[in-house]
Amino acid sequence: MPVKNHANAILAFVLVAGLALLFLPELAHAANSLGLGNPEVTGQPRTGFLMWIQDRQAEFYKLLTGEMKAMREDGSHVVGLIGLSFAYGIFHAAGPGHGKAVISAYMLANEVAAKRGIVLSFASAFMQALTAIIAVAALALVLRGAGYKLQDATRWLEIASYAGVTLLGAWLLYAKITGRGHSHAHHGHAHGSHDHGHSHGHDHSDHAHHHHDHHAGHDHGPGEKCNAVDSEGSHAHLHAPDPSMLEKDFSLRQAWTAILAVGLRPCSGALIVLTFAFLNGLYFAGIAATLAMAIGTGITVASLAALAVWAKDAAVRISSANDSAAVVHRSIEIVGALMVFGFGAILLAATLQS
Amino acid sequence: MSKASSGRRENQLLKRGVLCLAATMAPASAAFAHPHVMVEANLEILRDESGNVTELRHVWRFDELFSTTVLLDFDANANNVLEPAELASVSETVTQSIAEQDFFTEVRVGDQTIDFKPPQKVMVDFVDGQVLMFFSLGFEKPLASTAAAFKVSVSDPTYYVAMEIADESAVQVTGKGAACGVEIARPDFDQLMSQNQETLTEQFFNDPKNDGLGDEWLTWITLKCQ
Repeated sequence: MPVKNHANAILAFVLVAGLALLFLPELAHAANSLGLGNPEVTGQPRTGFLMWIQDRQAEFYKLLTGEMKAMREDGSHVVGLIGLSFAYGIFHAAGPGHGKAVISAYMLANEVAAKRGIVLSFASAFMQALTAIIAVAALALVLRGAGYKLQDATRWLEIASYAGVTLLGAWLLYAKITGRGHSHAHHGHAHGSHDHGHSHGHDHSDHAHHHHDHHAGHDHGPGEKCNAVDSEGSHAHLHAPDPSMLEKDFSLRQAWTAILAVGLRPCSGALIVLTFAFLNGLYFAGIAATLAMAIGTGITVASLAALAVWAKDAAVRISSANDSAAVVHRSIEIVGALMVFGFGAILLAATLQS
Repeated sequence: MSKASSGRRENQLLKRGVLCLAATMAPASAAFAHPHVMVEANLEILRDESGNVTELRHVWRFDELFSTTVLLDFDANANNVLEPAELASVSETVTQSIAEQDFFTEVRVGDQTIDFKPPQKVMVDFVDGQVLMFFSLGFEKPLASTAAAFKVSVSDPTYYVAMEIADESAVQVTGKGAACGVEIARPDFDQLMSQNQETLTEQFFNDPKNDGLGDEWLTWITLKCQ
């Protein structure tokens, strides 16, 4: 049914394009309007909606700074500070918006397990927190007066981060197009209409390993009952078992590259809070607030990563009704890889220009 | 039959997914635009002998958290105070940067946008842990303050800085002429949002470079003279 095929393919791509659009404003990037402080995603069009958001966020920022200032007189404000920092992390979806963009696109390109997306999201959020803590500690405590600026350090970290994302994208793209390490030997029979009976009883406690491994040795036939409710179950049979150690390392290295590339660019909110905290001797409060932000950020990014997996899964499932699953799956992976590469390249170019 | 109906259900699911995505898109995008700097903005509207407006004088006080990041980066001798040479370095950077954003200032007489002369430089000070900035914007031709439609808005077009005019006392009208006060009209975001709900998201994606946002979204200072 070619007509239906087309309709489904279009729907699937609308879904993926929707995800791509989610990150579009990311591309408006420049040095901030004051030329002081940390680089920030700015240069955005003045829209009413953004004005409204800004109004809300300014109130929120006031609460956060108020609590931070109150810390100087009364240490019990640390509780409020941690709570607000956590909320800041969730709502600001990471000062570095690139985290959610890159991780979600990476999920489209390379992952089928929502669980792994969650682990990747939190790992990269904590990596960002660590980068911020190390950067501010180095400049405020160790190198104070040595002529280095946090502003410049942040810029270099940002450049390194975006270069890392670009390389990751190029790597994924190469792997997806050549079929190396992924996507080979798909068999596209209809999955939508019947269930498969392998129940994955095992827990994916080692999140780093490649998803292909779980299915080595699984043999399933039509009519069996499938207990797996997460996306792994519905995707599993699209992949030929391939337990090779090489692939496992390959995927693990890609995951670490994603975490490092995203995590190298610290969140501006964390930098501001840490700077104030460290210069006022509030070390514990600064670090606690930063970690709380990381947890909040992790939650937002993880939700989007899970959404990316769900969208990809839905697109593949729908197209599997008419035997185009393998093509759709592969296409989405290539689009995901392209997105990772595109974000990296454009952000890198914008940062180098500013 | 089961295959067909399941396919239809999936299609519905997918459509719902697309809608859901669209709904999450706008706020997620907006989250990029968060202010990291709060400024208490004060304004002096200066008039000449005949009571016409010749100049706007800005005085901005930056929040303490942002101010410490400036301190960290510009305090070359690490004594926790910014001295004249260090302040001059801040001034140079700021003057250049805000010039690209029209000094965060918009002036209207009626529907007309009024140009102003850029300041020589933005003066910077550091008092009690807070960065202060002062500068003047002069007009080529004095503007009649009695013109009912004279108004000024102070805001950062990039959203990086949240500029806040606390109340009417933050604005002074000085010089000769009739006694003048000011009125501050703030946008009612909730009302604007509900009015524009249907067109906003559409606008946002169809015309992402649109900067023709209506004046009703800005806070305006209007002169009220007797």
